[in-house]
Amino acid sequence: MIGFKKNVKPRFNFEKESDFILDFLPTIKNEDWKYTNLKKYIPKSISIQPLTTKCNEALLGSLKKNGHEKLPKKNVIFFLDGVFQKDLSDVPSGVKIEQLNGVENTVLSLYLNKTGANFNTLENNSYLGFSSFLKNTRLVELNSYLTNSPYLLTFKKSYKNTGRLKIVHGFSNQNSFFNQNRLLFILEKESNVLMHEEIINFGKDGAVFNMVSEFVCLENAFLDFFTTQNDLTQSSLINTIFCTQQKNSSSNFNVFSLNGRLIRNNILVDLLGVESSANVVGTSLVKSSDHLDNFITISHLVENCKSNQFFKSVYDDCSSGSFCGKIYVEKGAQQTEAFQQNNNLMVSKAASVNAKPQLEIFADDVVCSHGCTIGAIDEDVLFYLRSRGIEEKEAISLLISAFLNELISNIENDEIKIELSKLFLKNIDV
Amino acid sequence: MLKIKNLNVSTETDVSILKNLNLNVNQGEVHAIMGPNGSGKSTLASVIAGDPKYVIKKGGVSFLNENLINLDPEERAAMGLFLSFQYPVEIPGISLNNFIKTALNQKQKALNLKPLSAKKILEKIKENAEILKIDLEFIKRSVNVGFSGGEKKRAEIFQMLMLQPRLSILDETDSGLDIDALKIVAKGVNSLRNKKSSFIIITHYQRLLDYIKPDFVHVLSNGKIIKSGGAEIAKMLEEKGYDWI
Repeated sequence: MIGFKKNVKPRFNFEKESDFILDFLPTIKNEDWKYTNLKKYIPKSISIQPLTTKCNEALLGSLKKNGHEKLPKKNVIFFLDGVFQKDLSDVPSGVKIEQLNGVENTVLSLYLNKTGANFNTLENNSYLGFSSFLKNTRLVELNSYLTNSPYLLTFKKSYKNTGRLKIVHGFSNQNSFFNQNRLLFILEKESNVLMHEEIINFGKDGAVFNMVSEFVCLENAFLDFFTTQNDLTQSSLINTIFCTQQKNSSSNFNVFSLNGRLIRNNILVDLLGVESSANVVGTSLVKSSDHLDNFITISHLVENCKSNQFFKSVYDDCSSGSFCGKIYVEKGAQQTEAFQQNNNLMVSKAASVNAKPQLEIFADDVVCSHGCTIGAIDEDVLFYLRSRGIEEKEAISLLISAFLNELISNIENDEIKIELSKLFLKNIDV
Repeated sequence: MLKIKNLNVSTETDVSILKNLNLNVNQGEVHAIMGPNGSGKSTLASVIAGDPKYVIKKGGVSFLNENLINLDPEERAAMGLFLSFQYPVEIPGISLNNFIKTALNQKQKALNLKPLSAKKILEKIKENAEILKIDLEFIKRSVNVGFSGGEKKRAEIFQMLMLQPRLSILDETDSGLDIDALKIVAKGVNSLRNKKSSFIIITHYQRLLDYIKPDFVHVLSNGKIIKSGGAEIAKMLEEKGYDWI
């Protein structure tokens, strides 16, 4: 396994960077990538995003002058090509942001063991990379090597948001770049964090974003994380989230996917402390020939934890997708409650989806369930709507929006709820 | 108003259901259709409303002198046809309120009229909810989701009153209703009847016809109308059953 060391360059000798990237990526022979042929979505002309701390000054200048619809004035942390931009950010008090790059003795290669025994050694930044223990690592390794700079965001003890904190990743993409981004979030005890992540591609060409975010939720921490995946430039996104949770912490991951050539979400949560809980939900509207792949694993490693996975997707045109959700219950993780649900609505006959629910349970006193549906629009319901005078097209749109709205209507924060519900409505186009 | 001539209807799997059926409904008339299970009553209702599940083999249906056969269900609704379903479907995620607003404005659009203002719609909602003794909170719920049998039927009649159709077909709207609910539903129907609307009421029981007086009663059996007459037929059927015919 390759560790995270900035000054170690890969020893491969390929003629083109794209050859290197393509050779290194997992193929469909890898069980975890069975339904997503990555090579199909990586442009042949791809090159690695240059390692630099200097950013595109012209772009920065224009952003400072004109702003951007996705960049609010308050409560925002902005990265351009992976580099933190202080001038365009408004970091709330109680949040510390540090660059992990260049810290010679960062014990980044020290992976914590799965029980998370060394969780209190905050000072040596030993968190980064520990989750690489888990499978699915090739892209994470690549990210470790190639990222411009990893950042550590620490939410201080008892921190509480006033409104949402936006995390915006901008990429300049002069060419078709393979972009890397790496963040580590530490939520200290009793902190309460509401974050909303978005990507802006400033380039014209389709690029590839390989994002890795690691979350460490310490005792009693509460995380509400939203990500809107809506790229109109035919880019591909591989978004990997690792989360480990200590005693009595809760996490909510809310993934909203609309546009993007390929969107792959790897969300891997380890429940390490008793009475911790994780809720991983997603709503997506997949169109044209886009591909969506949600790959979720929640591991119950100790007793008395709760988890829930709920993904709803609409597939239109000749889009395709996959849902692979796993619940793992370790031996001894008694009194576990784990649920999983996946509903897919196929609007077009040419669209396809593969759903693969998986349960691995080694404890005998648990409540676990999974359910999965793949279906078309109900003809009887459609007739009911039409018999009331609603045109067929309008009726289908109404049914799609009702299907998608289930999870959106549950969002507590009104600002995010309204924004997302408008965004989905705008994108329903029968 | 509605003219059905020699109507022959089959399912997609070519099972013949309606055979040479004839029926005329004029403005302001109330026709009751009774008949044993499986005689084709619901099929007739669905065919008039335009359910694409059925195949019309022969014959014709015209409404306001326009051939209905090639019209979409939404076009029929815009002309003033309404079907109260025997089994109203559940639509999670769409509130009754939102649903009725969309339906009203789609109708306005089809008739080249301006959309109704939210205020105007709300006034109509309040007025009709009052007639049917419906709580306004009820209208915020998803269409038919978790509704009791009676609530579903009441929601159907509420939609009917909102849309003000010229011809309403009530497919066993009385089944599963208690006496009080039945009276309320009848009150709704009668309030619309005063405005010269026509009705086709499909029912198994004489009871509903005590509250909504029919002008004609037809007996449908094996895909055909085998007997037609006045309200007295319903009373005879209640007493003697279908063997009497």
